[in-house]
Amino acid sequence: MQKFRKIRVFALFAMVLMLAWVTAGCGGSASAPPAGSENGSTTSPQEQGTPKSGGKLTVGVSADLTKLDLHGSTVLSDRIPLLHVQEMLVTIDEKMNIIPMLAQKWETSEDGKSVTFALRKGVPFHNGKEMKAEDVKYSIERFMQVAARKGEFSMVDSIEAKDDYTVVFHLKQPSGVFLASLANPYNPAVIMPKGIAEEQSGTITKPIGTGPFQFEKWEQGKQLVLKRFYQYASPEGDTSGFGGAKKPYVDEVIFKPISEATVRLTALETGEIDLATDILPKDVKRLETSSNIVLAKETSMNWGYLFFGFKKPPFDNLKMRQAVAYALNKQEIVDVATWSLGKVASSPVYTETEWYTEAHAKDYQQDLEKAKQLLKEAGYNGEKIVISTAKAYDHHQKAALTIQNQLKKIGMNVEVEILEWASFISERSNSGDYQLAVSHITPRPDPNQIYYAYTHSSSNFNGYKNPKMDELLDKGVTTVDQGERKEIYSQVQDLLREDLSFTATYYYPVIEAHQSYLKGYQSWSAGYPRLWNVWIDK
Amino acid sequence: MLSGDLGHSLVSDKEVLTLLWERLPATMALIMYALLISVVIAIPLGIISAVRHNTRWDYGAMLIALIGVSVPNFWAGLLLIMTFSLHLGWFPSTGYVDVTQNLWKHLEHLALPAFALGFLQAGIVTRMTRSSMLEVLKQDYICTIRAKGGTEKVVILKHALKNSMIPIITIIGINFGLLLGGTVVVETIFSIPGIGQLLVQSVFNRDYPVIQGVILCVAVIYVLISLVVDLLYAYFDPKIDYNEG
Repeated sequence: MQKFRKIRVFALFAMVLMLAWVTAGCGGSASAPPAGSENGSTTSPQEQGTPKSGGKLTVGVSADLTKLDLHGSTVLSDRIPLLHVQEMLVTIDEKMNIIPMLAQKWETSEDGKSVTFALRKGVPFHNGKEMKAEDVKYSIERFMQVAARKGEFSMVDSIEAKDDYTVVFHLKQPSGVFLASLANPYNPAVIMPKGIAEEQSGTITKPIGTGPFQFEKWEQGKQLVLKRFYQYASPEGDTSGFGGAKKPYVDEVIFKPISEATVRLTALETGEIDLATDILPKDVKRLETSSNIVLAKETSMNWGYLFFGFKKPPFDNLKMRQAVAYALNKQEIVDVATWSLGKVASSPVYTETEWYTEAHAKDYQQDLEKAKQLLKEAGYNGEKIVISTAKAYDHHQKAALTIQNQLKKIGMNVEVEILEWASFISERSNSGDYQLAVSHITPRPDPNQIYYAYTHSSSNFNGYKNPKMDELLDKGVTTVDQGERKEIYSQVQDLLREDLSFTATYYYPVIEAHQSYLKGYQSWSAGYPRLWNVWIDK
Repeated sequence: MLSGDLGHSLVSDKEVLTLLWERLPATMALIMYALLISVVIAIPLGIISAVRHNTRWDYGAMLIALIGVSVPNFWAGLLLIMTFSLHLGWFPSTGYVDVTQNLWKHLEHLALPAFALGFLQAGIVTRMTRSSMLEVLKQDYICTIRAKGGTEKVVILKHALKNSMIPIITIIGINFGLLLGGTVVVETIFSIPGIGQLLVQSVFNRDYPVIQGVILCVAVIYVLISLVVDLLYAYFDPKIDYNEG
């Protein structure tokens, strides 16, 4: 009987718990007033008022971090929070131009084979030590060993810490892309204190940097907490991109992973979070009418693509590729995939960057008769054609279905194959085993980083090969003069448009939303939320 | 594996066992509350519908059970968030607070997901309670107790309910597996850092050691629960005695 009594006691405890739960629910209603209800008027982003310090800022992001070591990471959800903690030697501004960050200035020697960086003085790490040349040498050397992007540093011969505030990079040959490699935010070469990895037994579990916020804790799947770094030494100049004057105002920033877009939005509406990233275009209309929530949207440099597979028929035939190019109506793709919030892309080079020229503006115009004619000439007889795309992003599927519809109009027999993200990457995208592939690519600062990987015959996946293209791309890497390089990449785009290895289709919008009491927030077309210069006013 | 080494995550390089230990409390709490909710709803409903067989009470209870069985838990979850978080503002829509940090907040955060998960179970258990009770109420010994002057309360709660518990307990045990599966969806919707969410993330990242670890963990839990169910049989039916071979 003794054990039965125990079960009864347990049951009783369970009942009490249940009762507590019910009352907890009722208590919640009193303690959680609707957020941002102090006024119903909307203020324009210009009238932000004087910044206030303090408070806690909670950001709802679509995915959790995978690791705390930026050198070893190519994942956006790792970069978004950790680029508040760690900084690079040089970085990118709002329009992806390269600007100083931890380096104050740099000089390239006459033979172009050494680049000397003068570091800013008095920049403290979060552990109290000052950032010096040895730290830069250590960080970049570590990056060149462990990073996915280490190939981009193959031109570096050695790194020399000349004195405490001077670092010299000795290059094997002159390079036009070296600075862009240092500034590329995709797998960023951030500067950490010397010996940090060894102190933390090989893997970085507590990232230390020079950023405006310092790492506090990461509870996987739940939250990442950053604290304001009071000793932060900001670079000078106008705030732009990752650089310029940066000032942390809030005491604590919390990144909460909420994978469901609908739930993320609800959490914003109930006031559980202050800022939500990755809002779906379909929710924009509803949010525009809300008085407590401010929408922050911007066309992004994320570009959607349609790739042709050269490894199997029928798109190894140029006429077939041209037929597709003439069949496309990119505006319609923008309307469907981005709810008209994006922009038509004629080139992967973004319109507002300094690399954009007339060559990037030219594009095929829809001409169904010509497309049908080309199909006939190519000898197409209604064979089945498959567009491969992935499930992870809603806009990929929508773009693929729109393209399917457009190709059907010229008499192509098209099916859409929707795969899991990981399968799409490994079995289609990276193996080149597809006829048509639809997906998107994140922004890169230099056109070399855009074109080389996807069009050079030594690195592309789809099997495209044109010696003239390879020659141009190689020239783009070794040419130092940026004006000449601009011309080279115009030629690359012209050739790409002729050869049709792929075509850029649309720029996806960055859509974020925040509480009206969050001031100073600006979206960025590169897609990174930035929480410096942002304050809470309530 | 037997030494407790499940390997390291390919993505975060953390030990799989550590990841499981971090995540297990949230999942277990969620499942326990879901079970509790399902039992608290289902047993009274089942009893009512059996005792008031073929009356309006019965139909009402069965309708609730039918809704419970039919509504998928992700849909229920989204509806609950819309109603109780967005419109009424009673509960938070996402997140998790550990029981050791703040009991109140802990319960507040798990209320909606537990209900979303428990409601489905309640439907199944209600139907089982009803049919099992109906069966028992037709037995001769129930008639005997009534003849001896036992009150309706004694008849139903002490004799009929206890004797109909065996199939109910069995179905609750089986449902435990369903609940473990359900946590995958519910944890993702409500952003609860449990092993269901860990599994989803690991599948997306192709983090095989973690996937293996989670599956193993779920299997072990399931076996343990089956054991507990077997042991409970002895309480509800004294004829089953594990001490005598």
